[in-house]
Amino acid sequence: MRRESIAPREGWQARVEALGFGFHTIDGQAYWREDTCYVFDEAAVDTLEAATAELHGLCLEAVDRIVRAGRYADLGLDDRAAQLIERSWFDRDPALYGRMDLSFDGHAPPKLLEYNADTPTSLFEASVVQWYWLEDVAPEADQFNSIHEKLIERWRAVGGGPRVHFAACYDNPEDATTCDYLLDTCTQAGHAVEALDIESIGWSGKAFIDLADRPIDRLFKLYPWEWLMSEAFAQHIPASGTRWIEPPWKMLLSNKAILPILWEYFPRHPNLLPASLRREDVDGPVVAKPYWGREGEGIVVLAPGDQGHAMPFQVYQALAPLPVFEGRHALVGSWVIGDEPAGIGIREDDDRITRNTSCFVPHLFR
Amino acid sequence: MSNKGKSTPVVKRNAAPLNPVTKYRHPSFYPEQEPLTRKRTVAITLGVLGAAAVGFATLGGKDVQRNSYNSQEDCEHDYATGQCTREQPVGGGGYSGGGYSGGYHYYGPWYRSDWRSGPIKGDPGPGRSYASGGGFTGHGPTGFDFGSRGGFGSSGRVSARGG
Repeated sequence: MRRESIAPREGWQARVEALGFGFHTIDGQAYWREDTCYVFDEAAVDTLEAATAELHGLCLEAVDRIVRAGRYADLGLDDRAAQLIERSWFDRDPALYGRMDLSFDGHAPPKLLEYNADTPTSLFEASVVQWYWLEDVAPEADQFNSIHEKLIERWRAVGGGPRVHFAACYDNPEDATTCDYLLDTCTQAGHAVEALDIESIGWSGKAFIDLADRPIDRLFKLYPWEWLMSEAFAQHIPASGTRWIEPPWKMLLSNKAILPILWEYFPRHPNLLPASLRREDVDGPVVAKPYWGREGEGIVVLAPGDQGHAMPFQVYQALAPLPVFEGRHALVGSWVIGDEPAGIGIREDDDRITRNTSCFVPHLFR
Repeated sequence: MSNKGKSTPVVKRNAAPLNPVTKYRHPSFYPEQEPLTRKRTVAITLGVLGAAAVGFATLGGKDVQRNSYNSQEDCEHDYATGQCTREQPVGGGGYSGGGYSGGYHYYGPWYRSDWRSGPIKGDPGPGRSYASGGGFTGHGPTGFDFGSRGGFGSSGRVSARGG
């Protein structure tokens, strides 16, 4: 795994915009960078793929154990959430996608930092934008990326009914692009679709309805479960009959409190890091993470001996430093579509914590 | 390293599991179909994305309502045939000015409660009788069901989304 400086394509902004990628630059700062790329060898990609499949398997087993043991309080979840999770798990509600954030230097086993299993973003740039970049820049090379076709294939199992509704905060360009891209893949799988803003969802008294007052049978929502559960319509979810994508059981995996539970169930697993709800259980430097933080929100690195500030709903995970290339900390986002590893996207930053402003950099392998 | 261009897709090796602890496999995640074995996308075709074709209508107000009727004939007097549905009254969250007496009612389509602020494309409106001031007399609506919009989305206004 190495970082290479390369010449950007002439007029790259127009090229990526033509694909529908409108947020390549955010607040005047490059989000998409193609003046550099990451290069892997095939063995490294195989390692990432195998680790992703392994970790996903561990996560599913952990969900099953948590549900059967009723350990919802360990994840800060109340009875309402527990009932939804149990029902969706035992009903085998299928999942669409997720993204694992891994610390990987190309050699040592990848380590799971967290699993964005509910509302992962940076999907479109990983699936489409970097693929077209590869076609233009290095068509003889390969890329760990079959996200697009796996999404279409997965929709054949996940979609259905009269139509699949897609809801997001459409005033956010990244969310809108992610949601519309998924809608596109759903359409290509042969399903009727309808998009609406999350705020436009209605409640008719017995069903969630769209703007044409049609019942919402299947709803893809790019909106975290913990937010849904804290809002006024949460009371209607159990009786609504709506099938949710991602399903409620994903609440267990998108929650950082899954990290200590994974370590408890699978101690010393080579792809996991020591983690606990108590600082004193983890030696050396740790990363304190809130259960429900996103995009680096609330994450603090604590030096050895630093106890930090005791906060409720916080986990402590052993620090697995991201590899640094030319001063840039690189994070591998490894995509799972259905149950299969499907590709990666690289985010990098000057800081060791990856945030929503961290750049997306394409990759290839030879 | 061989050429792994799209004309010669890479075939994934069958890697042995790293750890034998992952015995559990949720049945729904393993559909009986041939798995895709390429690491690389063969072709990406985008349909609606980039064409700005994915939009959502905005009906404006968040609250909606629908008229209930004693008969399909009364409902279709106010709305077009096909816009009326026969249902059991909603148990909770709804209120009928005429009162629920059990059995079935006929309902017009949902429309914005603030329909008086002006018509919006796609909104069916309150029906002929109500719009003309016919009220509850004659063959007009006997009551209303009230629904609402906007019960989701408040967290998204103040927080970062995605992950």
